[in-house]
Amino acid sequence: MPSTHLRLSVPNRRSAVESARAAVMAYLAPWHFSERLAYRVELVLEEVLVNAMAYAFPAGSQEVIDLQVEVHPDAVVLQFQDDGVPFDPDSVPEPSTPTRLADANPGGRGLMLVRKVARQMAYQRSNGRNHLRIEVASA
Amino acid sequence: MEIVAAELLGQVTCVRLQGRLDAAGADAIGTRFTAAIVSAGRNAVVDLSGVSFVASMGLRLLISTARGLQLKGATLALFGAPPLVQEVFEQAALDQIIPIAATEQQALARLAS
Repeated sequence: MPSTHLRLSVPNRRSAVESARAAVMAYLAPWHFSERLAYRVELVLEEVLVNAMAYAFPAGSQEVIDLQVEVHPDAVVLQFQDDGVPFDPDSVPEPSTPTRLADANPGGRGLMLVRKVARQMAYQRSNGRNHLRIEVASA
Repeated sequence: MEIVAAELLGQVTCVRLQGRLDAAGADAIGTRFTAAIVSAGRNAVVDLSGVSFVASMGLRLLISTARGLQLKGATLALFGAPPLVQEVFEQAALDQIIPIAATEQQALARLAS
């Protein structure tokens, strides 16, 4: 019987993102979720972890991002915690959707993609830690 | 992520990719990908049929390369994206700024018109 949740501590380096992805996908495998749900979970992991690694900590620091994954009846819930600088996703404005390539900023679309695939995203800052909770619907 | 081929189809550069176009993938090929496309300064197509995953750093590479090529007066088009990758393109409204076609033939036809 699958356990009720997965807990991982992801070291603050880019190479750790793939290990975290593989561990989460292995954990979720027994539920036989759709390819679309798997893609969405991978997208959330990628965008949140890469963003935290880029901005949360001083360069070269040996920090971790704590990740918890739970399967609910109609969603996969991902929770991320870190000791890094405060980062409230709601403080980041939605990028514009330009109609001309010359007007398009190449970057900055990570949060936007997470918002498209998540049915809920909640941020809290407490005890000096960022807490981010993201639900991806499985139905 | 690998560049499995960089070839010439008539007067159009064609780059074929294989793997995941996430932050790690974009890092792995970024310099070579941009060089293969922008330095030639001609219209280019990117074959995404072997790309299983695209995230925002992949979008960043595609958009910055397309912009670099546009500065040389040429156009980048994408084709062959699997359905879930195509969904990400739609979520990002990418087709408003970069031509996206289903097949190689359709991508080349878009550039020719």
